[in-house]
Amino acid sequence: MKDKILGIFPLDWRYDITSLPYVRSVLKSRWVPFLIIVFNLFFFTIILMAGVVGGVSAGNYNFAIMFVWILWWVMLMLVFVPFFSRIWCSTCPLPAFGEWIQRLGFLKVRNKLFGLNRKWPKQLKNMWLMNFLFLGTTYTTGFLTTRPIATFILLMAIILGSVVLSTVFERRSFCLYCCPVSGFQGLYSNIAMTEIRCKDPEVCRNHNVSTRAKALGCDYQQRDCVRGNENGYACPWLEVPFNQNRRNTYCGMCFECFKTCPYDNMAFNLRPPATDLVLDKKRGLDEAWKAFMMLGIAIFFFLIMQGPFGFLKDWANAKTLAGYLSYISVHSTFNLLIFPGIFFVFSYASHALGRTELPLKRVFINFSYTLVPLGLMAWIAFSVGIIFANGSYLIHVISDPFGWGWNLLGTANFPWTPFMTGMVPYMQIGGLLLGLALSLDIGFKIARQTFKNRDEAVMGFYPIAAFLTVTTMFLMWLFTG
Amino acid sequence: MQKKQIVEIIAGLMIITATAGAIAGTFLYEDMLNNERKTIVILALALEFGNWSPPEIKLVEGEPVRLKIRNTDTVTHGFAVPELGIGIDEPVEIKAGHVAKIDITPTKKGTFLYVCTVWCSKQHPKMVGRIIISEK
Amino acid sequence: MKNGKLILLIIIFVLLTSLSLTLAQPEAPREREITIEAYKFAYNPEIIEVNQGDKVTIRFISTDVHHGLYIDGYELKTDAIPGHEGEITFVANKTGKFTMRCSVTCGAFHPYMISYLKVKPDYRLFGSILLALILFLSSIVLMVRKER
Repeated sequence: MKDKILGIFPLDWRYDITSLPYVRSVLKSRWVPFLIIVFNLFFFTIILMAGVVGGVSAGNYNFAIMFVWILWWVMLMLVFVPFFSRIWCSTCPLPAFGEWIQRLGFLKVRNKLFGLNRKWPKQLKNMWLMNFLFLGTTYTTGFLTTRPIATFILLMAIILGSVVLSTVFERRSFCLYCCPVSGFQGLYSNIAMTEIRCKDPEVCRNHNVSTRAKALGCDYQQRDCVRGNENGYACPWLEVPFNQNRRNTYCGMCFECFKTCPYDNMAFNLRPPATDLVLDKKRGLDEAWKAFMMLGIAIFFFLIMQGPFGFLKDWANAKTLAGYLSYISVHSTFNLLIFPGIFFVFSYASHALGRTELPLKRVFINFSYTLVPLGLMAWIAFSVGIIFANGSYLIHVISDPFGWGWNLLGTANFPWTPFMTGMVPYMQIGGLLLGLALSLDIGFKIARQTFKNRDEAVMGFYPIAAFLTVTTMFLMWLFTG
Repeated sequence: MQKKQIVEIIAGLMIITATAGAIAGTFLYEDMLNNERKTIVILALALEFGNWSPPEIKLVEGEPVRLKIRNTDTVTHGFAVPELGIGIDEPVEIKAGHVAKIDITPTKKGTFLYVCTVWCSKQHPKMVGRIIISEK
Repeated sequence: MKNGKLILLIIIFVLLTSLSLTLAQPEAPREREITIEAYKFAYNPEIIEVNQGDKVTIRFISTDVHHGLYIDGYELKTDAIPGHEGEITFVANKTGKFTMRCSVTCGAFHPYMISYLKVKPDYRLFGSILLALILFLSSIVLMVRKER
């Protein structure tokens, strides 16, 4: 019997987008994604300038704030991550300087990378650092999203951090294990409806006997995509591109493997959503905590940015130091301890009811992945509430990016116009229900993986399903009721 | 070999255009706009954040000038020079992040107060600056 | 399997009883006058609750700078500066929660200056919770059936 997502899409259904004309040759060109990076670089130059020029003036009329937090963030949640996995990472201009320094060039291929090329410490090869860096970033959300200069500082910190770290550590270590935005993109990309995998695993299996590789004196166990060749770099994301049993988490979609593969065996697949979540491999506590934190932060962000409580806004805005410290401690405690604690109670119940011999930790970790679809949908619901109400500011700032009285496109006097605000709650409810359906479906599949037989799986699934349903109801009440 | 180097140079030029070019272009465009007519930029800020900047502007009688009042604050401000009749019949309201452009040709000399006309903070009534118009 | 059904029943019972709270019986429509005070960056009261059909008049007062009030869904707008009140009158015929937000840039946290208008009974919330319950039940039923 074949497994299906939501009973509709078979788990192993794939459509290779590169089988369309031109797509493959575009992805194999060294100008891709370089040209898109240059385009984004232009945008981010304007954003950084607007951040400096804006200083502490009104964030809602500032190009940097609007494009980063209203457009880019919302696009990540609504389009990039759910549909195109980590496509943003391939076009992100922030770490580009670090990468160009490593390569000492822009388009040419020179597999001996400049810099110390140290290995990233093994204890840090997970999401913990990113979890804490992201949590740390959320402490300053009150400034980041309202003061242009704060956005400038954050972006510059990312650029400088990536330059420094890429001269010390190999390839994209910064992006993989440091970038605050990387962690959630990685985890939530498990839902994405696209992936990069090899076309035919058989071709890759037979590839390791390349005579040319032997002649070059390279370790002939390594394929071109791992080792790099004259057409492209070794996978900058330290992935094993030909491995079919991997998740999207750490694939930055840079398309280098399309360029290196001598057999043209890479595919950019369309696939059913959430398939990676079912893959019982390399699940860990770090990603479990990422899932808890993302959902918890969505709740906190909603309360601060779209909730009615003035005291919470004063906390996040650091009106008083005591208030700000209370915000940090309540926010951290909830996301790091209380929310995972509640989930722990339910997975304990699942473990007890399912009577499995597996350790409780395994059950806890496995089921934590069911929070991913719901978490993404919570973020989508949150984003929808922001973009429809405040998207019209974008029309203003695109004409007058620095608040200097420009009118580039003639829209500088476009007033703040909330758009379709009556429909927003319905979109939020629809999204959350879809998230619940996906989460239940994934939970159902994980239960069967985790427990030995069907009775145990059914019993073990009850508490998790109840948790997911109650969480969804809470979110629907929070957002719309 | 030769071709590869040319490609590298083109790529480098594209990056320079996207970064340094964008910055230079921005300032050139701003300069071009300000050269249309003699321009004086005034920043509007509530008293707590620095008041009008500069607090004193000097104009010359009979010389056409454009006042660009940039509201770099987070609240709405207004602009009026009551004695010169600016912003009286048509109130000038400048929302946060917006800019008001007023073209004037001073006709009488003297010192005049310019004021904020929108309640912007508790100290709003003190938000005043001076325009000094001298003889040619 | 008996154990499982019992747990299921308990869960459904708890959820259904809590649901009934969301559908409190509406009172007869009447006229209401509500005063909302705006300050940086919230409103007082934070949440206003009315019943469907009520004729609502909102007196809008600002205590510090120029503030606005925009009601999502109803798409009504007013504003006030200290000393000048704003006013909105409308019949609350749409039910549910409507976000009221500041419509005049009033400071750094202006986009987050929000309060809620709740028009009862909230059929939308009732319906969505019911749908979530249906999803929950069907997933359980499907699981049990599929595994047999």
